[in-house]
Amino acid sequence: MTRTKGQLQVDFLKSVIAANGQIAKANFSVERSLGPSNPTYVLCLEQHGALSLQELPWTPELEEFLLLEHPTTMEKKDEERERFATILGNNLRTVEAQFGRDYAQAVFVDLLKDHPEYNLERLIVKSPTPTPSRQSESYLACRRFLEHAIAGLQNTAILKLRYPDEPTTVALIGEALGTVLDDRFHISLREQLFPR
Amino acid sequence: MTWVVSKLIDFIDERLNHMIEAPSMWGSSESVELQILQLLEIRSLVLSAPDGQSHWHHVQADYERFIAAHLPGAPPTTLSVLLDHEPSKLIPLLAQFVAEQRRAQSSGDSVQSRNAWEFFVIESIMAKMRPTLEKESESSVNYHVRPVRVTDKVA
Repeated sequence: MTRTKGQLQVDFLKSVIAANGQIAKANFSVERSLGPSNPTYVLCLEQHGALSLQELPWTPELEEFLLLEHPTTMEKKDEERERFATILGNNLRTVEAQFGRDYAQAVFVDLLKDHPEYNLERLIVKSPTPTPSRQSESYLACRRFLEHAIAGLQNTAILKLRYPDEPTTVALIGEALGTVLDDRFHISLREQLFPR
Repeated sequence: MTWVVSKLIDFIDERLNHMIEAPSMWGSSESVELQILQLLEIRSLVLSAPDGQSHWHHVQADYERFIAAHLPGAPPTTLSVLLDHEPSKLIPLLAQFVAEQRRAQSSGDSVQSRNAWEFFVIESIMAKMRPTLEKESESSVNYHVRPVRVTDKVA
């Protein structure tokens, strides 16, 4: 069976680690523009004293490896925020594929309204989504998936990436969620193009 | 809220303004009064939350309260009939009711209309640019329709 790009990336990193190598430093970049965002990992690998840089396009498989199997934090907090936003955005995208884009986004915004700890009021007000009916089975299924994606990422940050179980980590997840809202609803761009 | 809703609200508000500024252009006093009430009902309907409820019946009840407050003890009929002998008072009172209804129909909704319109404009631009941008990019696939697993354990 053909291996996916993500599986090949993970195989490569596993082979480096198995040969007594390590990930010495990890950086993450994403292009915030109207076009594709091309999220990319830049990993500094150390093997037998030699350093090499590997630029790896983001894939879910690579992300799971760097989150769960070989927990790796980014060098800078801004990069971690963008990484978390990419994970949350990807998982929102999968639920959009299942329930439809507008509906999934409406549930996402509705869910965030119940989480003041993420401090997203300013962005929620600028997110043009209808209020979904909270009684439907679709709503419950969609919300459950999104809640797990958000709470699971926060727990992963604490348990695997060793972020402190403190408000600073909640704030980091909140910033990542804010980036997803900004990206989905073009909020920063709208503020520039249509100043009020 | 959609771009269509935003356009409808703009149209209704513009038509209400015209009627108040030049009522004689729109027929008799009673005709103007009823057209204004109908426009306010449609405005309220358009701005209703998408929960299957039609929130427009309140306009009539609000209007009855408004008349009762300004003309205590008046019989249940139109303002144009009640002010038949003081026609100059009709339009200022209707203008006041329109202003109250606009406030009551939630200023948050106009923010939503504005948000929806801005979002529509940018999405339209992106839809036109997307083929070019994707051609320029090495990979047009940024996201993969497969969720990233996260831990099930609770911190």
